[in-house]
Amino acid sequence: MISDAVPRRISRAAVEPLRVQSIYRSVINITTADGLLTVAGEGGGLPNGIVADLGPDWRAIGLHPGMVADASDAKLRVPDAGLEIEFAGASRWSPRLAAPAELVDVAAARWTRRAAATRAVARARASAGGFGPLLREDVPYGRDRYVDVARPALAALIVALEIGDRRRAAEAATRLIGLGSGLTPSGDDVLVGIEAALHALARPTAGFVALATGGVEARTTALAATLLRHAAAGEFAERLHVLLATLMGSDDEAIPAAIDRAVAWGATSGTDCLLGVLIGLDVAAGVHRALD
Amino acid sequence: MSTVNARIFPNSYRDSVELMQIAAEIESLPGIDRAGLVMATPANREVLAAAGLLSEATASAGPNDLVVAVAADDEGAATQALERAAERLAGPGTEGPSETTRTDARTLAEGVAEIGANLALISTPGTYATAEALKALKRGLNVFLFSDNVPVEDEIELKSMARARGLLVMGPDCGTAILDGVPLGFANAVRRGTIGLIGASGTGLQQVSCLIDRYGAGVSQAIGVGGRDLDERVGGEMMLAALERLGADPGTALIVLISKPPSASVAELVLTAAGHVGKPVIINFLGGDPAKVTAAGLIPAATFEAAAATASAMALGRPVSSDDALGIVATDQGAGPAGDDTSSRAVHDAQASLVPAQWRIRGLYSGGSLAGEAKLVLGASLGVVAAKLHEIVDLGDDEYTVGRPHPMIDPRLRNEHLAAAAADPSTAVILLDVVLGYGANADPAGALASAIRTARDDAARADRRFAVVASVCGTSSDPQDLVVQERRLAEAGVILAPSNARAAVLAARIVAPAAVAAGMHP
Repeated sequence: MISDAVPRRISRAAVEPLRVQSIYRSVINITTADGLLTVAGEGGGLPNGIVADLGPDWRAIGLHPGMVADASDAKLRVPDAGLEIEFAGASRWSPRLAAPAELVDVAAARWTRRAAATRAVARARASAGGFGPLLREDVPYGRDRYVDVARPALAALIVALEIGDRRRAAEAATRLIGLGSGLTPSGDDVLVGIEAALHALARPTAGFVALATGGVEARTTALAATLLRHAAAGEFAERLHVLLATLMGSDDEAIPAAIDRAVAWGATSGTDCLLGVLIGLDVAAGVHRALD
Repeated sequence: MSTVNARIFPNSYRDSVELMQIAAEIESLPGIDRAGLVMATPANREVLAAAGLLSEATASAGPNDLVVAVAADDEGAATQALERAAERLAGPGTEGPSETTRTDARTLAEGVAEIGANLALISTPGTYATAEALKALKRGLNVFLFSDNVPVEDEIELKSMARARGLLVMGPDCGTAILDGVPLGFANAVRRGTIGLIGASGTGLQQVSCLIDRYGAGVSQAIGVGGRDLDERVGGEMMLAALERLGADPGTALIVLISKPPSASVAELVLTAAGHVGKPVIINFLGGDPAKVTAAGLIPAATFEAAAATASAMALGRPVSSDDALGIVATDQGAGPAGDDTSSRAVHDAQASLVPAQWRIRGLYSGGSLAGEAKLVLGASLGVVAAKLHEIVDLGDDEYTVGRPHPMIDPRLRNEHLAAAAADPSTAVILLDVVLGYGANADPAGALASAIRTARDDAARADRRFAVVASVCGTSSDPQDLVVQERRLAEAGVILAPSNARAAVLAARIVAPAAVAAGMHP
């Protein structure tokens, strides 16, 4: 499966050679002039990515950081490792998240009805790492330096979004970018989650992150910077599409399982993204939010 | 001696839970104070810097590099910890988050829902304060904004929103309020009564309320509005709003308005409004023109003491009289005026201990308004030009308090300045304010007395003596107890005055002959 944003990235990157940036058990990141291109073996579609099956452990297929790669509309290759991924048989998937206008009010009303119950489920199941303490609401000041910095910045962001002030929201977002642990720092994951919810409910503040992403590559990890730029453009991972569809869908009983799946993404990225999604939905639906 | 060391792992990634576990593990090693393992993004580097974990070794790290930083007792412990971290990062990952202890969440929302709160007290760093205040206003809460370093543009926005919603924003940098008998910020334990106070001046409000208590009267409400409220840009928004409220308050019989020197146009606006409030209003705008106040049908008071004494006398139905050009009012209840026998003896003794080179007053203030009042009084006592040769410093000003506690809370900053002032051969008098109250240091006079003794001992070794003059702003009901605090200072040889204005007068009297002799005063 291939994101329809990938050919755009490849075509923009034609002027500069692609290089392997990092290799994990089932993920390869490739640098392009327009951010990272990610090949992943699991986890569903990524806005910057391709889903492929390259075997049980991709660290053992001869790839090394810095290897030159090349790509076209038809394939991605790392010649020195003998790797070639054909796009011809891949299904195309759109990472763009937008709710049909006629469903937005219904979805917002559903969220308003179930917000408190969903938060309670999320509180009970959230990771203790990353910004999980903010979701779990067990966050006395002084326990975690990153959470201490994040909390007032998030509070400022919520207020800014509530009053529809994109400039102020971007200022608060700037304080979150690159903040926290992980390859996608917690602050970036939260911002992606918030953007996803705002786009899903077609709020005018959606895209506020774009005002905060100038020079973002110097302020956060390459992967997080890429995902933030996609988020600002309304493009998100498939799992976020699924999560939002469930949270705003008609089936209350599907929610606990969706929360479980969400918090299982990565070590803390799932919890951090979920925190952002819940904040974003509350703000978008006008639900009173108490992250003080 | 602590050492900070770090190691960079370029383009490295381990999941965040694992990193936290490694951090906890190496923090538990002997000789390790704290540790951090994060991607070296600018935001994370700031957090590391705030935690004292940023070392030169991390200077070249970029956002895609993992940095492991430790603060240790010595280099050996740091190296050992970094090696342990490297081993863990090279080894297999661990699984599962650890449990954390749950504590009660305390939120604005809970406050509103559970106790029906109608006011939020905000004391975050200035960078975040505006957002918190906007949030509170949106929930229909009045705001007491203790935070300083809030931009004036934000203040204007907040106050405009508050006015539109019929709410008060007390601040920013609002030190004091007493609302329906509830003290906020640095407020003092003062008797309740019928005098309503509105102050764009934190310690001014404290001084007036404490003196009212000393004179036997009481306070209905004390509303702080922030030191910039009467600035041209802010336009007195909250003083006008508070004036309306106290005008309508049946528990308030008369009103005192207190401010550092206001903008002329705003002062005019406020005087006009005060003239129509329907209750007696005493105006204590430091350095203001009493004729304009009188012309507006209002009562001028040049000092905080004069404002308190006039208001108290009016509230208690006693005659009001002014005994000098400063507007310092003598009352039966007031402690000894600056010219009584005890203080004359103290002035004489202090003068006798000075050598010819000692002529300067060094005022080290924790209260900005008290510092402003001291300058005014010195100007009136010594002449405006001569007064400028002396030095009055407001150590509570933003320039001194970024990243460190206010000197009313933490005495260390003033003690450092006190040692420096005492070491200056030209120093004749060190002039101090000691501010008590709920939010202030538990024993400010005790901390000062110790520093004064040390400074005196140091000066004595150079065969020099200097006088220390102070006033204590507080009441005997304050947690620190006025009587106890004054006694501590007296035991350290401090000359005490019953108000800040009188302390400044005493200081001026002590230095006047020496300053003239040294050619510093006409």
